Amino acid sequence: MTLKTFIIGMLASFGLAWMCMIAIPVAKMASLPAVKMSSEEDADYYQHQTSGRIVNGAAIYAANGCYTCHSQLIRPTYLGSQIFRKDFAGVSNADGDTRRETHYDDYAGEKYAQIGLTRMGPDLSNFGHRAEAYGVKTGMSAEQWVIAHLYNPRNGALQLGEQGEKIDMTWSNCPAQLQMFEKKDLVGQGDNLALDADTDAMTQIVPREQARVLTSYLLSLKRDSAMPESMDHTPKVPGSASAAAEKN
Amino acid sequence: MSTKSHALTVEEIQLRSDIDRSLRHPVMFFFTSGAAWLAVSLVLGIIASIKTHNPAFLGEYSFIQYGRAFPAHINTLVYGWGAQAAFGVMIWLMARLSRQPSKNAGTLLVAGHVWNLAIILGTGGILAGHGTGKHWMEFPTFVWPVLLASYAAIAIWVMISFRVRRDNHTYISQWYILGACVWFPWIYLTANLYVNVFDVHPLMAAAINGWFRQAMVLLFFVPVGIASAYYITAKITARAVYNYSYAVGGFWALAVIAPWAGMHVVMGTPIPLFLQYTGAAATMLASVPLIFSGVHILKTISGHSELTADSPSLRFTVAGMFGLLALAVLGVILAHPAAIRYSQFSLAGYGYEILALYGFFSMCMFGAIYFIVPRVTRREWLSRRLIRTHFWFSVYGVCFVLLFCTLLGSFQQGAAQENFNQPWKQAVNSTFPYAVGITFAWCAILWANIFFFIHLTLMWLRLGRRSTHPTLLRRDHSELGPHGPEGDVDELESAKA
Repeated sequence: MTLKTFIIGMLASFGLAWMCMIAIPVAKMASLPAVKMSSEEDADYYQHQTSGRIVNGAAIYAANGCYTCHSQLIRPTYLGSQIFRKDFAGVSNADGDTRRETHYDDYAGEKYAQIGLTRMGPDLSNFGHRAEAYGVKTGMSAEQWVIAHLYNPRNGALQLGEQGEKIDMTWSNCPAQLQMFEKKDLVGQGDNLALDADTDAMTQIVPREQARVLTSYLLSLKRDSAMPESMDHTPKVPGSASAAAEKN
Repeated sequence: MSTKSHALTVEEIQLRSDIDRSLRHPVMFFFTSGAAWLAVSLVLGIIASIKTHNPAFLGEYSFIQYGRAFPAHINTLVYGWGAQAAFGVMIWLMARLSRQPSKNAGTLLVAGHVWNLAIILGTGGILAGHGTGKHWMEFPTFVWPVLLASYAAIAIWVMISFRVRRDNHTYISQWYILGACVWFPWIYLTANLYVNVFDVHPLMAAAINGWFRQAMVLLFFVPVGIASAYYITAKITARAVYNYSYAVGGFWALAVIAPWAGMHVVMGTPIPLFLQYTGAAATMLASVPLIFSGVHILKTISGHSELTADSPSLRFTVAGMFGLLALAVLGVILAHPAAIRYSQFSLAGYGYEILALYGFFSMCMFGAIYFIVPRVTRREWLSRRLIRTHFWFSVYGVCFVLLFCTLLGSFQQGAAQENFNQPWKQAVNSTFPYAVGITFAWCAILWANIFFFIHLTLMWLRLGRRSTHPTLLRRDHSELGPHGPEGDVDELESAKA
């Protein structure tokens, strides 16, 4: 065997896989056709809508390793049942049911889809909705709630039960992001996002820019927009597993 | 490859010692700096692992929080230890098998220093909060071109020493090393260009990252480990490789199957289904060449159980081959679409990485290092007890991770995640015992490698035994053995001259 025949063999064996698994799919995924919301002739095209500081926020999310414990993926039901877990895949209440699988436009605006490595923490696909609900329960804005959670994820005052009792959160193994906060002298009326805890009359703990950007990104995570009919596979038959999950 | 060492001519001995001397500094540099990175990686791994069950451990400082310590741990393990151990073995094996002394020790040393500098900057970048958040590619983006350039400066000499080989026969180890040489830059460049440079669909970037990790295991670490195992077993048992054409078949089977593997880690994402299922199928199918090579190498050793117990190199290599078989089986179990429901977001993926990088690859590299270092330093290992501690604590640690945490723990964790009627707290709690288990295992492995690092450093300082007898694990050499009566290695040389 000469080096030349060896290289040709390598080019053939690796090159074919490389074309089929990397080069062609990447090109195909770069130009996905627009999809109509329904089969009616005058139906609108699906358009992903999102708001918030997604690009910077996703970079902070990545740099602090949130993806090592939190996933951002609702798998189809043949690969997992997280779609039925309360508040993971969308909002399901008296007003309706928005739960659905992840769609290929859900990561629009991000450079890299943070699927996640493990689920040591809960899935964040619809964290925006959850944070708003927690905020309402605890009498904070959603932004204040997320910032308080970043400061101390084991803070029992952030999770209230049905009767407004504090829920024990000491079991959480989520790291506190203390580097995103600083102690500042109290000036005027103070910062509206300053934390309640750990302060005296003269100073307050306020989130740095990083925490604000990350919060904006986390609150943008609402991946339950209505899908085109042709792509919506979520089971919504009464009496099915999804209906059973609603009881819980 | 099968020539017995005591039947060598004087020229042959002279040639080998010329090769060893020409590569002494680069090889020892790669091994010792690799071992130092291994120690760093293990400390970071222990910190990260403790933080999964005790988040306030060592205080809530940002630079050692789990989300930074864990990526730093994996990246130092892959690029700091894994790649550098591989470089050391590749350049030495290729020079020995091509029977040509190296004339480029200086270039190799410079490239090695650049590589280490890039890893220091990259690791510091991750810990300081500049990681990219792409698993196995977390170094800040300025690092990868530097790594690739210094890799090129190293690998080109491996290729050249193959080009100028003395006889036309190609050993099976040379096939695998050349393969790794060609595959690594292709995989690394593809992954970094598509993920970090080109503007690709975010989901395809994640899929390519999954492909990259699997390709690094199957097309870089596996071939280098197998190359070293073929060499060590044939050398120490003084037997030819069991069946040469089988071995070549195994190589090409790996070359054809492995590049398709890996995208099953993003199964369930809205990317084309054939990518996900081809990835799963190829990962499972890749177990065929892996089992093939593992069995083939063990077949070469069969009947030499005494030798395996005595020789540190052979003992580590055999353990590495069992690691290879376990890796093949685990690949089939974890990549199976029926298991992915449980294994995709559990600790199983980490367990697979530990098995690939430590249970298989590192064990093969330790085997090679115990063989190569005495030859390039002309000193023998100091203590069989240090080697035995290194071996047993490594084996205990890896077996524990594999059986307890990866197979039992990850499915328990995955099942708790799937049980959507129970609160999420239950899924976190079910991880707890296995997270503690991984901490214990890393502590055992760190304990093993502290001794290894001390031992290797002493050898590097040329404080090893000045004996003509290699260090065996269970007994001393008899005077009738192939090395003759014991003597001082340097005195023997001057007497010959």
